[in-house]
Amino acid sequence: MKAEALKGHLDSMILAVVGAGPAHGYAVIEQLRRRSGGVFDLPEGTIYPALHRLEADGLLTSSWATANGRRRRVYTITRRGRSALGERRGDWRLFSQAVDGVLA
Amino acid sequence: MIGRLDDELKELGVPSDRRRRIRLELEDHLACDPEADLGEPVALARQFADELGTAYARRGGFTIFLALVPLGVLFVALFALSAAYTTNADSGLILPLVLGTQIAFVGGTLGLLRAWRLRGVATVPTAEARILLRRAGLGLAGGATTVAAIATLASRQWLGPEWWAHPLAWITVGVGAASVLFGAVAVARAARLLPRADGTARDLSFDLGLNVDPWRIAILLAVAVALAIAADGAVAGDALDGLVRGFADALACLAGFALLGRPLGLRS
Repeated sequence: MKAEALKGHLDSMILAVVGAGPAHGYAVIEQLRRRSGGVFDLPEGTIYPALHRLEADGLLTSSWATANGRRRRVYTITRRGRSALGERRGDWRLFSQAVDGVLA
Repeated sequence: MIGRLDDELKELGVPSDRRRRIRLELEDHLACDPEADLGEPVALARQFADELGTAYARRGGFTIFLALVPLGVLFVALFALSAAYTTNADSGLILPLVLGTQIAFVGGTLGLLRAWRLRGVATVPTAEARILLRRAGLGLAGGATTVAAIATLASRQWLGPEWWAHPLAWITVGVGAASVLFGAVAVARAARLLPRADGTARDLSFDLGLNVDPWRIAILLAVAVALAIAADGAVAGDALDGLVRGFADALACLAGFALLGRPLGLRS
């Protein structure tokens, strides 16, 4: 699927992935790929600006961890992020039902 | 790739601590998958600048309003509860005090409105971020003027006779100065990293969620101000004075809208 088509939904998907458990950037991309059955194959760099912005907006928080002797930034969802995710899920259900209704 | 990205980020004004973090994250990513395609450094750097610049500008709008709230509360407590601050002070000090608080309120509120309307937006145009920062800067300037005026009043013992008036004034000055400093840091950080996206800024109708010509809103607001001041004059027993002051204030509102409307994103 084209990255452009995902643009408006990327934040929700990142929040959903990180909401399932703390994750670093590479793991977020892997999860997106796996959970979408390989359909969402994003240009890998694009995930990082979104992660930084979501953190600056207070929806994610992050901290350094060490893995195999390397420093790794691990992201965790905040309470505000969880509430935003709930709202976005509700909006998406409404939207997808409406589109389904029209396309069916 | 990471070296080129770092150069691009530096060029776009991304601070060094943020660049270092990006570098470490991407190095970790490449260690997980050496074949990973992270994209073109120029495009990726631009995306960082756009998204972080948007988030910083938005946060600047929220921060200024929140920073000015304690100053506003203490200001009201000081001058609503204390009696005689105008009796000893020369009139030259009253003008910056009154104007400063009004400018802080208007700038802070406009910054909050625009930041609120842009919440959840990944990237805004440079013009939109500049509007947000100008509004925040206006709020800051008003706050700083108010703090300076209160400090002058307190240092010259020009406040009311109540035992608590001067201590409260100095507390207001301390809290206000800290608030202005805190807000200035947020605005300075946002000003260093502006998004680079093309596009135009919206106007007052966008802030208010109305589909109306901004001039109509300005005229309605000016009429409301005139009526409120005229009513105040009538209640105080001098209806003519109220009418004159109301008319002058309404004209000042419209002149302000005409002069500052474009730079503050009130009209296009």
